[in-house]
Amino acid sequence: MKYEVDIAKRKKEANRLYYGEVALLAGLIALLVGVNVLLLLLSPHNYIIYLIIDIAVSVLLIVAFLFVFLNLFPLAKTYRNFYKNINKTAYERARKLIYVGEKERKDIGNVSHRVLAFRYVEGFVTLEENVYVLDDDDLAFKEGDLVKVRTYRNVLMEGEVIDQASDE
Amino acid sequence: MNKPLSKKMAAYTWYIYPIVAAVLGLIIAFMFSAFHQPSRHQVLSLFVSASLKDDSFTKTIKNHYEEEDLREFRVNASLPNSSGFTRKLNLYLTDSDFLLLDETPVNKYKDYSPTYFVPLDGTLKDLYAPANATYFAHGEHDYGIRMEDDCWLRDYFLLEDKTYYLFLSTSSKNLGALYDEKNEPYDNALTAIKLLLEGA
Repeated sequence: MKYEVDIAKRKKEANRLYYGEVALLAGLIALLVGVNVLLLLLSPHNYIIYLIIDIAVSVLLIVAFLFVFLNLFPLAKTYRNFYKNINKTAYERARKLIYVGEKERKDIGNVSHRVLAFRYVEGFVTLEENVYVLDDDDLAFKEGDLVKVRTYRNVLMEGEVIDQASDE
Repeated sequence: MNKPLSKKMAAYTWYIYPIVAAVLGLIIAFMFSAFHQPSRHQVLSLFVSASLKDDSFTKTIKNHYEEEDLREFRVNASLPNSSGFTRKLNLYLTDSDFLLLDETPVNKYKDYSPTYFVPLDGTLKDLYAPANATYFAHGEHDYGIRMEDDCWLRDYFLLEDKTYYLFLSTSSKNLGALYDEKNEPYDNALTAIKLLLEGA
C-alpha cells in the first residue's frame, strides 16, 4: 500500500495558518495604536487614570503580540516554507529495512507527527535514519521490506513497499 | 508529558517581555506628557530677585482663570547676591512674562529697558495697572510698577528692604496683540498685573 502525504491540502492548511497569524499580528498592532490614539485624545489634562489604563492595556497587547511573534509565528512561517519548497529538493531512494521502530511522538505547533527509525544495510555498514511521519495511517513498513521512500528534510512524503518481506 | 514547543520557546524569550513592556510604558508616559504639555499661552512665569518662601499664591492666581486659559504659573527666584543671579536674570529677561526686580538689577539694566520691558503707555495703565500706581520711569516711558509695602505678594517672598518693581517682559506670549497680532486672544499677562499687585 502506498503512503502519501496530501501536499496540496497541507499547503493550503499551512498558508491559512500563516496568513491567520499575520492577520492576528496586524490586528494586535492596529489595536495597540488605536487604543493609544483614542486614550490620548480623550484624556483630560489631569490624565493619570487614562495613562494607567493605557499602559495596562498596551502591556497586555504587546505581550500577546510578542508571544505570537516570537513563538507561534516562526512555527507557522517554517510550516508554510516547508510546503512551499517541497517539490524542489525532495529526495527519493530505495532501502531494504532491517529494523523499523517508533522513537517518539511529538507535537510542533498544531502539527503532530511521530519519528520512526529506519535501519538498513549499505555495503558493509548498518545505517539508521530518523524519518518524520506526519500521517499515522497507511504506513505499514515492516522489517525485511524493500521500500521506496521520498523525503523532504527527513519528513516522509511518499512511501511504498516494493517487495514485501517473506513471512518466514 | 511533553510541553508544547511554543511554551518551550517562550521559556527562552521570557526576558524580552518585561523589557519591551517597560520601554512601552515609558514611551506612553512620555507621549502623554508631551501631548498635554501646556502651550506658551497657557503658562505665566514670574522671575523674582529674592528668595521664595511659599509658592501657594500661584494657586490663587490660577483659580482666577479657567483651567484651559491658564494651566501653570511658574515662579523662579534668585537672590541678587547669589552666584548664578546674573546668568538667571539674563535667561529670564527673555523667557519670562513678569520680572519682579529690586533697584540693583533695575539700575543695571535700565538702559536696555525698551528691549526687555514693555513700556506702559496710557491705555495699558488705564486698563490693566492698579489705580494710583507708582512707576519706574526711564527716558520717555514708564516700565515697571512699584510694589507697595502692603502688597499681598510680600508674604510669599523674603524681600530685602528695597524698592521692588514689577516689569512685563517683551518676550511674553501673553500680551494680547501688543507685539504680535496672532497673540490677540492671549492676554493673561496683562490681566494678571492687577492680580499680582493687588491680590485676587
